[in-house]
Amino acid sequence: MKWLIIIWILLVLNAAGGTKWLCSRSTVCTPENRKLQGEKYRVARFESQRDCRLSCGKYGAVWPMPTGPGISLSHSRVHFDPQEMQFSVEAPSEAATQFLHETRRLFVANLLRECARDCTVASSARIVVLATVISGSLVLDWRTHENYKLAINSTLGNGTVVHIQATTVYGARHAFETLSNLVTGSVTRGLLLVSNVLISDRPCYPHRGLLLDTARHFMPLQHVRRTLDGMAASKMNVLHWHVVDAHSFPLEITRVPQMQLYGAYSSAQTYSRKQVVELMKYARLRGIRIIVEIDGPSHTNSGWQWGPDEGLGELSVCLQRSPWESPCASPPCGQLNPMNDNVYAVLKAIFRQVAEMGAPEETVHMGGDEVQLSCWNSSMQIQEKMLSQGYNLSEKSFLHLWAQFHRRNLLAWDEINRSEHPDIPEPKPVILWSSLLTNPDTIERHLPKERFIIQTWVDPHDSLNRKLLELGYRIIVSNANFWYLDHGFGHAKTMYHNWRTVYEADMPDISEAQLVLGGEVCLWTESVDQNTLESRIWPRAGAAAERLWANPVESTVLIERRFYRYRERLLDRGIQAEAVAPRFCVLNEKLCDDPYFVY
Amino acid sequence: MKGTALPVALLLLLAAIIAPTTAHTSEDLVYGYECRAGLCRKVELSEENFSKAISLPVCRLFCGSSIGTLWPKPTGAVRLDTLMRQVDISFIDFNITGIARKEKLWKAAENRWMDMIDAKIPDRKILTRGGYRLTVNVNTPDDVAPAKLTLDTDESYRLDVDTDPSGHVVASIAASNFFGARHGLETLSQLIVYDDLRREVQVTANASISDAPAFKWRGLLLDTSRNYYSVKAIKRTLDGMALVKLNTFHWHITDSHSFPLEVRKRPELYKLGAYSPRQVYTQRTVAEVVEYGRVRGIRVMPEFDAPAHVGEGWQHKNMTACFNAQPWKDFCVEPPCGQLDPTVDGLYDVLEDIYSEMWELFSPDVFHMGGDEVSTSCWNCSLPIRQWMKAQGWGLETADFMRLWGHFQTEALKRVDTVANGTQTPIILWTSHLTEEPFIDEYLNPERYIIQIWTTGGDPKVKKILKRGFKTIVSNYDALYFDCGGAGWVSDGNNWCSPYIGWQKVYDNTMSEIAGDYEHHVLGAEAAIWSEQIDEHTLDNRFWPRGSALAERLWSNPNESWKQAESRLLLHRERLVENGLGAEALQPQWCLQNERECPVDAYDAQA
Repeated sequence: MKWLIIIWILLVLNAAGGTKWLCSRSTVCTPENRKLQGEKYRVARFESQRDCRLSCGKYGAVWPMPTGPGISLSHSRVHFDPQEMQFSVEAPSEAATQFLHETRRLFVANLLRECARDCTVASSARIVVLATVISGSLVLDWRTHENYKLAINSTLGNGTVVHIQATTVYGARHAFETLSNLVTGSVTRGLLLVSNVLISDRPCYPHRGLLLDTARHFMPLQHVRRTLDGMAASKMNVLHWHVVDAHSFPLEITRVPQMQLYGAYSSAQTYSRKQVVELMKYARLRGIRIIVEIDGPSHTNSGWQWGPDEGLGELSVCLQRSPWESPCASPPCGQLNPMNDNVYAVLKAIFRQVAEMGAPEETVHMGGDEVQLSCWNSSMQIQEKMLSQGYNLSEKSFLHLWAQFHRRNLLAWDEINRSEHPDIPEPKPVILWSSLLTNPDTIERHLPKERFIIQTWVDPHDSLNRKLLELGYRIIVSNANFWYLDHGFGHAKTMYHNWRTVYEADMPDISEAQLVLGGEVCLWTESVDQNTLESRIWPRAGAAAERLWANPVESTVLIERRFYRYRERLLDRGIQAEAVAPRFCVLNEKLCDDPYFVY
Repeated sequence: MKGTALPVALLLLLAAIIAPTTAHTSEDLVYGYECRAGLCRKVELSEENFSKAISLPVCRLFCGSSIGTLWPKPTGAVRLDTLMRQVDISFIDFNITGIARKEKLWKAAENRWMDMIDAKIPDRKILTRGGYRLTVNVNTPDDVAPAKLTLDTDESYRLDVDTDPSGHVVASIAASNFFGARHGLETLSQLIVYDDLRREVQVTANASISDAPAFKWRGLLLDTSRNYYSVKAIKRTLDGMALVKLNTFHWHITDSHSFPLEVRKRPELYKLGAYSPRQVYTQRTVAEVVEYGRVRGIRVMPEFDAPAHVGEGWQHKNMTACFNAQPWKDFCVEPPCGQLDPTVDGLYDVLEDIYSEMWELFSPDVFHMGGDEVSTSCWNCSLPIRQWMKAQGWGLETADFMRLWGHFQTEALKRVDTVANGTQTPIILWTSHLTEEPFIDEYLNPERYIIQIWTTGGDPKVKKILKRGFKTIVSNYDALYFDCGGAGWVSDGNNWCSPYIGWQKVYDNTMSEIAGDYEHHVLGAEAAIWSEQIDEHTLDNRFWPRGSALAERLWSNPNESWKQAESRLLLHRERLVENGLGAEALQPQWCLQNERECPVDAYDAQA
């Protein structure tokens, strides 16, 4: 043991007195004794690569990049002990003040993970963090201001003062997140902070989301929480929780316990109502909304089987279809029975719980993808009822029926919200997937634009986005060819979307683009469970996070080193992010670059 | 299943009394399984069917398949009874006969086996008491020499399970050595399952299995140079290999990116070459890995790749050419460049020191000398090399550089033979320019060299090598490079061998298709993880369950395609997870619970 300690001390001393690092004009960090030909280095010297990265390049190590204007990062550092930092928060409401105290707690916990060895510093610099928010509200929706200003001033006499100013607590939490990106572990002990900083920042899109499917495979809560941690580190603000699907129904619906009882893979693979409420709080503290998706009328089977046994009739039809190829996209088949009033009653109970669990301003995702009209058309009961109600059996009729299904659920949703959240005056829009029903030629007949937001999963070059925008619909983009993170594995014929592809996904760029709320990367979990969850999402979701935060024009070649640092930060925070390059390339900046790339 | 109705009723009663605080008891179960027409059907549990219903692993052990859930499937006769017996896990005895039992290896194998049984039980506190005693008899002939896996080792075994009337299950394993016997233990552990309805550990009451591998070289390659892996991660990989009877861990320990191996006689190699002082495989930890592998029936074979793929660690020796040269694309296939300079005399002394320490650590029965991707432009850019070649009266044409390579290989091999005490250890080399005509005939002797093939399975070069009588190990990248399908790291787009290789392709990659009439020259195959974009965080899901698909191809060499193996693999994948491996999921859990309801390609076309 003694021997180990001696070695350790030697290592520390060696590191402290070790080679210094330099930052070049083209933002390459290199050890002083291994300068690269053709690089012009600045004079500042840094104790380590991570120290150098903190201020090498306009954005330093901040991910996602601040949108400015007027970003400045000094090359000098303050050496400090995170336990010695002082905080002062100012907010106009008790709730907001409390929120900021929690933010501070999470921030310090993250800083402690940055310490290379020991966090304590005998003579720590004095750092005071003053955080002020203007609004006392904790509302988090598409209209929430997430902007902030961060200024760090260090002077000999007064120590270091960090000023954080934000409109809302959510902007303030982003500022703390940025502040954590301006810190790295010192090679000896304690931490280093960039000593003089000016950053003003606001996101380009208000909806920066990740879809997580917990129905194809159940994800234990700790993994969902870790996913939220990764999102918080990336300033993503929406977890789109595709909690149920045809494969399983793990969510507890207290008014309809049969859903979970028959629908969960096992009694251990469930989310209780209480757990969901706690998870939502957990997310909120990290600036994240959880939008629950109750997919329908398609993608329903598990959990919906019990209707006939309990006298409610068939809730979902085509359940026992074999072969499954038709009439559903993948096994198991099942589509809600739109002619059965009990279906709406059950859905209403589910929506009521969603409204009760969520924040007053929160909405719901009603699914609506991959409906197979042929399924409904194969049910005698549905056919008969339709004919008796004056429908014929044409495609147009079935589309009408489908739209009717969504509008009826919307009415229920409105009614629930009027009673649950009387303080919210306006009816909330709900979200639907793009589908046959959202065809721009006919959508206005079916889905009013004030009430339905469309999440599209088409290629960015598909005209759907443009047409919907021109019609005045708000959209969320999740193009399958860039942002489906499950693609490219298994026996699938799909392509893996590498982090550059994810990064370079274009956002719609037309005059109606202000109707683009943002986007979501999606993790469908047919062949993903808790073992691969984190490595599928991270660090690639971070590439989308920067796209949605900053919509940058920079080439991925220039942001690569900052991205590598971001991946390491995720690892430090306990997230199993996938490797993107040999360690050699991370340590030896530029040496693995394509030598013939023209900047 | 006779005789279970009463205990179950009792059990329910007991459960209500003694385990009210346990979160998940059998009362929570909504579904069970019944074997109907050869398929395990998920059924809603009711009072009427509760005694008849069984758990999924139990059902799948005997329903519809003559080999149950065994993976890899045995090659000899298999007889499995449908009757299961509860095992009293506090009464499991091991009897190992012969003097070899004194070796601590046997004790380690026994402990590992008991750990695997433990891993099947989700909660010991709720386990139903009682059951049959289980005795495991292992019979191998006496052997004084320590157990060592070689190309001549007979890995076959025979396993018999019988129940005697006194309430005693006896499992007997017969093999001609430790390695066969441990495979038998592995198979036995797969006949033992946990029934979550009755909360019992159960074993097949009667079984007999005889089994032997189709191929003797069944391996995985791990590159620990592009990214470092902890010893813990390597051991976990060995655990997975043992579960599926893979027997060779090919350790691509060094490369141009880093040199993480402690070489005591040349400490600068790892001191300069490791990513950090903590990312070094010390001799103590290497010895630990080698022994850990041996207990699991695995040879840990080192590769010292040369003359190319050398760089970090060698920087101050003046023994390399083009080290870290830029623009790297002119000198090598990936950065950092680096290649040994075969004209430096002192080089071979350094190599001898590396080899000799590798011999002490691994005592390899087969040794890998690398030999891939040598770049002539690298050597050609070195003035001393050109001068040396001129002094020999050589030109500077490709053939001359091949001669230089041949010279290197000859000299390096002499040093291997020195440290190996003239044992003529078989040497493996990668396919390369050197293994093509006419160089292969000039520089490589089929009696001495084994060629590891990494070109595509259909490459005509493969037959040319086989035709010359070389023994081969197959690692065709189009089926066995498990790193394919990630992002490009030195280029835009995805990596060079994209797309990702599904387990189906691994399974259907038959040696006969690659080797044709020369299949008897194929020792076996290896799947490879090159670690440019993989590190500890994704290791498990890259290897598993695809490593299992390879294992069955090599152990059983089945005539059937992956389609017949799919539902068995889904269950086997759960076994990997149960044993601590973060294996990738293949299909929604729904498909595991609803056998054959997710037919071929169900999830392929998913947008």
